Amino acid sequence: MTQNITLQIGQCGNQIGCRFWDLALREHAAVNKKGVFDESLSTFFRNVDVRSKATSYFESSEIPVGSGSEKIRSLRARAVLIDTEEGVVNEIMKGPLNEVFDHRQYVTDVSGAGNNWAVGHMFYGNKYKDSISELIRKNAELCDSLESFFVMHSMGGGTGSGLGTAVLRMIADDYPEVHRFVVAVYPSADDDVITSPYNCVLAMKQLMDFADCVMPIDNHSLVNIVNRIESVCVKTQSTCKNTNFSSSLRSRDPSKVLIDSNSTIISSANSSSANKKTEKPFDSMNNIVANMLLNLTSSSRFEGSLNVDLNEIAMNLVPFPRMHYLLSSLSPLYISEKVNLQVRGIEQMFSDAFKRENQLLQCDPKSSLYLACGLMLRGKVQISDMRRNIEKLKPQLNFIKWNQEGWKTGLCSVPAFGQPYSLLCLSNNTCIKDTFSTIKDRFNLLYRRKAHLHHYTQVEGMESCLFTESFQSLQNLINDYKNLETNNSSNDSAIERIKILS
Amino acid sequence: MSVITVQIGQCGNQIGEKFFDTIVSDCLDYRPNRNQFNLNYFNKLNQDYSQECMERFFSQSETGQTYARSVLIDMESKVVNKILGKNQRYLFRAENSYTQKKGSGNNWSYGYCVNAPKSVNVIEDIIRKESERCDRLCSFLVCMSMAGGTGSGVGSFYTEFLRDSYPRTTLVNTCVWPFSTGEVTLQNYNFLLTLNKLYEMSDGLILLENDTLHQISKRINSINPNKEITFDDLNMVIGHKLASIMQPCSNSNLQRNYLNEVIGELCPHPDYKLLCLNNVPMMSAQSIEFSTFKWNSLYKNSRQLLYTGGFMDEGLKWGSEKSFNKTICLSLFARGINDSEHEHSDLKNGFFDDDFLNKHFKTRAFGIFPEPVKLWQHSRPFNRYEKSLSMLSNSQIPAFKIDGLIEKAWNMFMSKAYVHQYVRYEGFEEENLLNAFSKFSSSKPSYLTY
Repeated sequence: MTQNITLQIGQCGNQIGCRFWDLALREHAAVNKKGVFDESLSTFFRNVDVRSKATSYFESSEIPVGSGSEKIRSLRARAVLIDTEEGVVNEIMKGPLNEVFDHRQYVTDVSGAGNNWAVGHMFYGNKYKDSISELIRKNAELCDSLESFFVMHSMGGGTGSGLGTAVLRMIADDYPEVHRFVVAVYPSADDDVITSPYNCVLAMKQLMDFADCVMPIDNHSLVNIVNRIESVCVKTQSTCKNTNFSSSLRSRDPSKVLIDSNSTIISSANSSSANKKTEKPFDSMNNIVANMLLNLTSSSRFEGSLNVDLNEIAMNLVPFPRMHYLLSSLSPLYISEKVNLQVRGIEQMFSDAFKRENQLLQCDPKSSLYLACGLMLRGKVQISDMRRNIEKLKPQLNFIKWNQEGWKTGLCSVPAFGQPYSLLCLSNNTCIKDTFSTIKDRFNLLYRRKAHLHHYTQVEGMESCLFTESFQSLQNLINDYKNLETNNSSNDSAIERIKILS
Repeated sequence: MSVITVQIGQCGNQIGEKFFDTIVSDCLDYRPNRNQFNLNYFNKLNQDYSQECMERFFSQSETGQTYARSVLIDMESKVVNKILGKNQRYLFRAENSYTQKKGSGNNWSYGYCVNAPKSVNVIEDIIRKESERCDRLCSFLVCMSMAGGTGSGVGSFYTEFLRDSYPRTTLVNTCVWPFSTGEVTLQNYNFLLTLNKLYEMSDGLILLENDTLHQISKRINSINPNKEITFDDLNMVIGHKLASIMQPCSNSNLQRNYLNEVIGELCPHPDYKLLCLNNVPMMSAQSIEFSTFKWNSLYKNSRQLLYTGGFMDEGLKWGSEKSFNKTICLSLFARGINDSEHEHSDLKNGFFDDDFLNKHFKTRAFGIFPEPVKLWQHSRPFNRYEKSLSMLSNSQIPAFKIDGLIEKAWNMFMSKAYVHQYVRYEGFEEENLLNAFSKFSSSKPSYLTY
């Protein structure tokens, strides 16, 4: 089995990463009853013996998987945490996950990137290039067979978009064979960072060139989803203990993080006074993203009757090299096992996954053209359920002419934690050009007036032509999607098949 | 005469497993019907049958453990590990398995150009050792899918390899087609490239489609309407179908090269290698006890299946005057006790009437005259069915479907979709795809217009 390394960059990236590791531990704890370090655990974790007297972190006794029957001693995440200010990473290291990350596994600075892509990409990119590359290299060496990098960052800030894309470029150069999956959080229309359109467009160019597969997400959709779930919970008065999302946002007290002892298997503290569960504000939203990542990798970690590896996902859902943006949606939606939207049955699960409200980006895929669609099912579902639902849904969806049967299906027998069955839908759909158009327009509003440009151009290494190049490449991408749509609706006759004249 | 099964990819390994399960349960679980009055005869029959079957498919180790004559190949380890871990009445040899870590990504060129050459030295050894364990090796049965990356790419590579390394051993491929509503987006490309290779290298291609298997499974499990059909059910059907033609027959014995004869009769011409496999009856285990079978109705059903291109004896379209399906030749495998009313040879000779023979059997056009219908037979019932009839036919049925699939692949190719995924691996260029298309434009019409 292959291994994956996560690269968490910036505040957003690290917060998503933190939730991801927490949920990954919980999922594996539920599946792995015997406490052995087996192959599925080794895809994300390393087994380490802390009692050995090793001087350096990376020479500490690494216990390989072997026959898959070694007991777990101490797990370390295959992750690299990068940030330009210390607050977020320090908080993670103070929390219950500090044993999963080692203190030498991250790179931080003090001053932050000031929401400036150029500072993140050029200044910090150069400053920390060597140390980050060294850290990644060491982590990669500890892997038997590295399959992919998961890069998590936001597009609107400075560190995530700037330094994040610098790291992406670096791993594209150093590890060309390894897949690069990027989870990018796009700025929503009402976000509070003024220069976010600049950061976003500049980062988009890097993503277009260097990422294999991007899963765009935005906060607006996540907030809507979380609110929906919580309002249903409050209404039905189920056993959820969480307070309403907006009130927890007001009463945030990040220093008092109590995570339920069911959530992690190595939580050292916090078993006392766990009556009131206070969560960090963005936790619910990040949980959804983390669940998406877990479902994505489930078929490559666990057995099933129709396995789908990560390289198959990129292979099947990316028909043209630059159009690698996959819209994701989860069904059923759940924040934790106690707070979720109950789904009435498998049929509803399938139809929900295609609804606008379930998408993790503000988009409506049903009204646009599908280039390809991937369905990853987990749990107690069988092939006949899948086929039946595909046949039912197909008439409602608009697939491109040459890919009318463009489905990629996967079945994993191990269910997600707390859910008997779940579905992740990854669509390569032209509706994403609307999101990009919005960003492009917001960029234009600022760029026409040259507003805030001096912050960028005064950074060493930054050239103003980069703005126009990035804008142009985004425009080209949008046009590519548009062309696909117009070509599809035009009725020119198909080119006749090649024949050998005898 | 032994058969070595080479199982490639997730699909290949899963169906190989079920194939062996079916054979073992057929041999060991047979109980003659208590109403039969000549039990000694049947026990002797069963013994001979089992012995031949064991020789054909299994080898014994010194400790008396039964091992399947099988080579398991996959580019990722989960499926093979699961199979090796099962402990049953027979085992798969762990040293006959080969796995890698990363899989083939549903990409034919990744499987063929990158993964397969990496593995060839190891697998060469494995196959050689397994063939040395056989007294006389008569054929290879390669099980693979045509949609995935390993099954299609690595499968094509090893078919070529086996053809080159063992030129006198019969090579039969069992190829599984994905669901037509879409299982893998690259299925049409992979299918085209695989068919291209297999057509040159293989002796006979047995085609099985997930769609038809799904229908058959549904019918078999119709007793239990709440049960959802799983891949296991589909694979059981494949196991039954394959075993029904591969198990011993009276006309064969330990000395004759059984598969070579079967395939030799069926594929007389190198351009016509596509075989369709139909079985009657196919019903749930509970229904069998309440059904009676008669040979002439089984023969009639089979004939109708051939005429209409159907796959199941339920919902057959009777009463169609003309059959649109032209046949080159076919083989019938009749397993079960004779009934007093009809003799097999009569039924076989009367299978087609003269008029049909003249219109639909164009073998006379080639100037070769194989028997249009060949009958293989054994009196011992097969797999709980008191009487069963399998039909392996070389006819036009698959050609129509292939044409449709190639059309779809062509449309995709014209839009240049996914082509970059294939050409990025060294050894594969766009020309390969183009060549595959042109090859099929020249030989496919021959199936459709003869």
